[in-house]
Amino acid sequence: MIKPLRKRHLQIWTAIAVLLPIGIILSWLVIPNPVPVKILPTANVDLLPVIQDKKETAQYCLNLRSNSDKTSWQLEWKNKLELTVPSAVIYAPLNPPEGEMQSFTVDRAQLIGRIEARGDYVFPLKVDSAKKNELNLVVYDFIHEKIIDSITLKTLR
Amino acid sequence: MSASYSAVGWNRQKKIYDGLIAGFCIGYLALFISLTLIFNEQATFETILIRSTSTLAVLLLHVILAIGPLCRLNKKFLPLLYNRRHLGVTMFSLALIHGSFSILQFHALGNTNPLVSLFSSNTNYGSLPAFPFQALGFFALIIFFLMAITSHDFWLHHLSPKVWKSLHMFVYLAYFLVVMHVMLGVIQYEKNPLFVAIIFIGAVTLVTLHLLAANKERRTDHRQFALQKEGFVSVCGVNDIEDSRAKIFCIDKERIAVYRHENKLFAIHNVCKHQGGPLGEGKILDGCITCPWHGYQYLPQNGQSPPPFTEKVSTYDVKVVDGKVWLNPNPYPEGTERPGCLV
Repeated sequence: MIKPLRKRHLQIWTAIAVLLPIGIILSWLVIPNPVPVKILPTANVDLLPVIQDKKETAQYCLNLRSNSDKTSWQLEWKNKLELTVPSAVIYAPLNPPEGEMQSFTVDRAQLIGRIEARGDYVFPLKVDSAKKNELNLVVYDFIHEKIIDSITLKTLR
Repeated sequence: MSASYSAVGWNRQKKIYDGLIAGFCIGYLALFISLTLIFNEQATFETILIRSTSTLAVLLLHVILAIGPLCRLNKKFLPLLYNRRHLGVTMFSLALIHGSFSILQFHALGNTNPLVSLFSSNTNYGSLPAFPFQALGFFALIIFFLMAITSHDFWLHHLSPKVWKSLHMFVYLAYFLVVMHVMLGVIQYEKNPLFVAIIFIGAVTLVTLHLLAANKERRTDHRQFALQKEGFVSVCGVNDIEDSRAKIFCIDKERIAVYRHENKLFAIHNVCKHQGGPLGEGKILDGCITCPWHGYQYLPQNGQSPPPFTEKVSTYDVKVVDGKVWLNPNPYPEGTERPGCLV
């Protein structure tokens, strides 16, 4: 290697030595409201006995489950067909405006869980059925940052 | 070194090396796919392929970037350098599979052109957590592509070593882009400290190796030679140089290799005409000084490549007085015959 090339290597690696740790640490620190890694397959979870509400489309089937005294809740998601969105996230918007899902933002929503192209999933939910008789959910494509579907489930039978 | 261009300059060593690369890659992919199928039954074929090829490409990129400094720190790693291009093309091929399937899976199912979708689906360039990390990977892939298609002596010759080397030094930018692609991409939703630790350890290892190698080179460049007489500089003892090997000295900012061959000393410019390899770190094979990087050869007595090759390097006067080697740092024109000095 000639001397100018050695010098350029040293300059580049000195710059990388400074910039790369900064980039890695900053990226680590700014991770927002992370999507949970743990996706719980139905087979590994004890399903709660009461189905409070259900929704079915051509692509998926949803069951809102609870125990008999409605102190524990679960969202059961079953993919019927492979989703065209390979990785999606379910959010429960906090105080959504009346009938207005367009104003949904990730910052003002509770994360429920992540679903992938196929498979069945179960997510624990926090629902206060005494205060709210509806549970609004948004299925969100986090790669393209757009809403795939909006779902409303009844918490009162 | 050959007189004409061929797609791949196969020899026994390269075949063994490529066999090892292929074996490792197949083994890695098989292990990754098996473990994924065991622990994540829901994973689709595309997802498994995207993840397995990406992790393997990142691993190979780290190995590729470590080879250069390892060779400068220890000559035993030089065979890896000789074969590094094949590893680079392998890494690009894996990155291309990862990129192609990612675009297919994430951008090809809508009514927008997948490449337009890649850049238009997320335009949060001002936000670090929501940064469009896929664009970073795309630009890194473009750099790897340019490197892979020019990774041949035909292009080295036609672009000139200076332009070729400058192009290939963009690999460092590509490495930075890849790390940020990972950190702003998968790490943002697979919040697993293990992934961050692996990337961080990889970066620290590479930076340390490169800075250690640079420090070693700097020490060679800054060595002071006290004894000077009639334009000659006393550089070392005769017995400090092994037969068929050389020692490198940096005098007046130029590196000179002093070779010992058949009980004679010869001095030539240390920089190979091919890619700037350190001729003094090679050895004499079949009577020719052989560059450790890619095997380019020069005759010790005149610095010329044996016919039909035309590469030439400068030669220097060297003499022995009382068991000490004296070197004149004024170069003769490239290819000038010098008789050498009897030890």
